[in-house]
Amino acid sequence: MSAAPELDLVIHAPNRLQICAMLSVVDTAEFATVRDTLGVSDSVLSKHVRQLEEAGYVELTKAVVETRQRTWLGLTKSGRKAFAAHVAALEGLVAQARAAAKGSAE
Amino acid sequence: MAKLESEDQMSAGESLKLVQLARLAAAERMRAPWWYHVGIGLAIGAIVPAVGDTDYLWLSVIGVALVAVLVSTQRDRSGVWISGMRKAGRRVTLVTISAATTFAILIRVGWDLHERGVPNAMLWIGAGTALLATGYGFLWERALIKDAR
Repeated sequence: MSAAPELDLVIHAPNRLQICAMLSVVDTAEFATVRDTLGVSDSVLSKHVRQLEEAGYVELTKAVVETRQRTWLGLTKSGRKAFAAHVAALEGLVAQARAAAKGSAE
Repeated sequence: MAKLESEDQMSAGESLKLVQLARLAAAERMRAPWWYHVGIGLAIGAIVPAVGDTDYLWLSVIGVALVAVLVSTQRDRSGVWISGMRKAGRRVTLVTISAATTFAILIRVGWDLHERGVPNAMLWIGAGTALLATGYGFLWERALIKDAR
């Protein structure tokens, strides 16, 4: 039997998973854009971003645009690697579950 | 089978669906208005003539400034930023290589015509490049969104 794929529990929480998924297809995304897409409050997003930042997966950059400070989020190199590994692990689990279902049906 | 010890015990399938939805949302953000691609096309068209004829250096300065303004506006408008420096997907790579090759050929042709004394050769090549760059802009965006999905 093959070893079970390893899930990254920092990434796996639904909100953090979506944050990483969004950031995986762009270089950076603005805090407000991520917040609106996820449909969460500033404080909830801040909490999740802090956890990702502490894990070294996300980095923040701040820029002032028309006197308003904007925060941009981006995945770090290790964040991209960890997210790709996490998605691969999820795909592995789905494949295992399908194979098990097929085996029990036969 | 590995146990999913997440905050809400989501299944792997549900997690993958969330990933797909978030990617789709980010991909939709990448869609730029038509004037962005036209503007970038015009800016590239303005930069090109100076490559073969330094008399048009002033035009390329306007082109570079236009690119900077458009890119900054689109970044603030969309809330996402794609530098194009990261490893791209298959479709984006194909469009980028195709565009770069086309522009290189056009500039080479323009340079030859300019050397032969054809009047305003580089300006005409700039106009052609502007048209093609606009088309490539729309293609690049489409490829980017498809790759993101």
